[in-house]
Amino acid sequence: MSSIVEAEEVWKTYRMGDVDINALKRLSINVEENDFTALIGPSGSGKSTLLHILGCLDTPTRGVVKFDGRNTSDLKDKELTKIRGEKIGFVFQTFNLMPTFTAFENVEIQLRLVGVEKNKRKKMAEKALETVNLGDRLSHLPKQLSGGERQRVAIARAVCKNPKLLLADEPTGNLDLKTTGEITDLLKDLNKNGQTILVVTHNPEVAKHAKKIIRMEDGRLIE
Amino acid sequence: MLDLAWKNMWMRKTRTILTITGLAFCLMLLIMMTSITILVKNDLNNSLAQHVGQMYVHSPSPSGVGGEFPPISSSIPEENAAEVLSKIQYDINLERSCPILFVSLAPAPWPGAPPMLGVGIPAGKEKAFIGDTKAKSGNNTFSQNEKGKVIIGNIRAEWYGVKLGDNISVMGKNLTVVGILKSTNNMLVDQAVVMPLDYAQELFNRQGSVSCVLITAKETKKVESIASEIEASFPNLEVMTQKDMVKIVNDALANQKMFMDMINNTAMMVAIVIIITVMVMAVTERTKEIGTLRAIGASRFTILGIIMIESMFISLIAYLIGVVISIFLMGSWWGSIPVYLEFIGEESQLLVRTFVIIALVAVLGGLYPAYKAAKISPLEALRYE
Repeated sequence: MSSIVEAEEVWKTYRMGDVDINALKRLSINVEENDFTALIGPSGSGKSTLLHILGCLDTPTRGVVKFDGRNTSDLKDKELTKIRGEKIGFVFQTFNLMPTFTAFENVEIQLRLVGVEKNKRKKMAEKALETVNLGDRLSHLPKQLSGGERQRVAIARAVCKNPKLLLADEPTGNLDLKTTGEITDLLKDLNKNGQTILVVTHNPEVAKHAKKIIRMEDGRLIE
Repeated sequence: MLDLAWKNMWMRKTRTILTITGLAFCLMLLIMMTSITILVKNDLNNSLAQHVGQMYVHSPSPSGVGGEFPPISSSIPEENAAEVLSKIQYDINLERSCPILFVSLAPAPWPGAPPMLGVGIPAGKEKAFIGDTKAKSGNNTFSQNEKGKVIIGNIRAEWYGVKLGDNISVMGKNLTVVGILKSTNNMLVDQAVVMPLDYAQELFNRQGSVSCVLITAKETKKVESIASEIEASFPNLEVMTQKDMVKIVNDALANQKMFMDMINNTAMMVAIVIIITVMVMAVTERTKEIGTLRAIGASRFTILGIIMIESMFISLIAYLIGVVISIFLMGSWWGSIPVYLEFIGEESQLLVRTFVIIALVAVLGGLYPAYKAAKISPLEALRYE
């Protein structure tokens, strides 16, 4: 299997006043095609920092992160933006939908940002929403949807462009038990269909469905 | 991204409406002030056009600087006036040349405009001052030695609601209105209360003196040579030609224009501050959404565009509302909306210039917030809760 993103001996250091805080300490990880990896660990262990670095939202202080073989530290903001737009799908804990856009528009804007033609965008956005069982909620605003439905819209937005990697940061953190199960099943189905997924979670129920579980503590991988 | 900018704009309806109202008010001020400036300038130009071929021979200005039009402060002995007329009688239209007494009866309605004028003119020589203006009612001339009779210019008559036969009080004396003139393009005539010279001298205690000699040349091209001849022959007198009048009026207008420009500039500064404040607030409130867009692939340029477009939308709506309100207000002030629309049609550069100004306001006001939004890191935004 080929590697999508790999981190080699990565450090991430934040300066807090006069003190340097190492959020990641010489960490190495490799995410390969069709992986479903769960990144777990206590708060402050560096899970989200690692996710942001692997998702080209941030760059490491030291070490190398290669996305599709390209060192992200060498890339300009414009190129990192292009990679995020075309190759990475993001799902956030608080859904992060545009409040003034309908479910359809929230998905369609992702396709607009990566330059998909207008006539194709409609079909692709509708298909993505049907995949997450929201084919009948196209014209609903986020405030008219439940938490689980909003997260499904966010997943549809992330997968509509067929990204190489789906990164989910605590995707069930704001959801109840039943909805958590639905979202987990959805992620599992996507992975079955070939979607590579890396999910950061506190929830063991979510982690147990992953093919691989990676535990983090104090900026390092434990197992 | 037009739809996103449009929808974002209406996310905070009350704030957007208040912003648009504020901008529309600034624009309305700009349109109205500019309209008034153009109107006054046009009126004065039209009025000055009535003085082609005319000269006012008067005493030097007391301050020694510049001059005034009409020369109210001037005073020359009646004998001097007669000498001037006899010296150049072959080159001038005698029927339309005569000594005149100007007295200010009320202050000017706005800076640079002539005051309400008391005008004393020899009976039978009224045409020198009023030209070919006909009477709307009553007479446009006096018979010899008429005392206590006045002819009033159209604007003043309307202003004070005076009708033919009414009595008006001047210097504590009741004068009877024997004529009301038709409206003219000559601002002096429209504002004037005309009376026979002898009676005016008695009434204003100016026996034996006049303000100036009003001279109309037979040929317009000879005005300058006549003026030079008078100044050479009468070194204690000055001659004001139409050219001098234009200069005096332009100087007076320059001050007025500066005042109007100051109001306009202040209005535009206020508009820019309104846009910056509102857009910065909007950007701060939407940090999370902007960060999300950046995370899912929106470039800094796209974000910049969204904020700039939103600023443009707000300004454009304010422009349309400002124009409509201005048309209604100015139309009501002018007494007729179609008349103001006709004025706008003739002065079409007014709306174009206002549009360019509001576009500049939108760009200048939107630039900083847009730059601020474009600088938002997707990472910071995702941490923003």
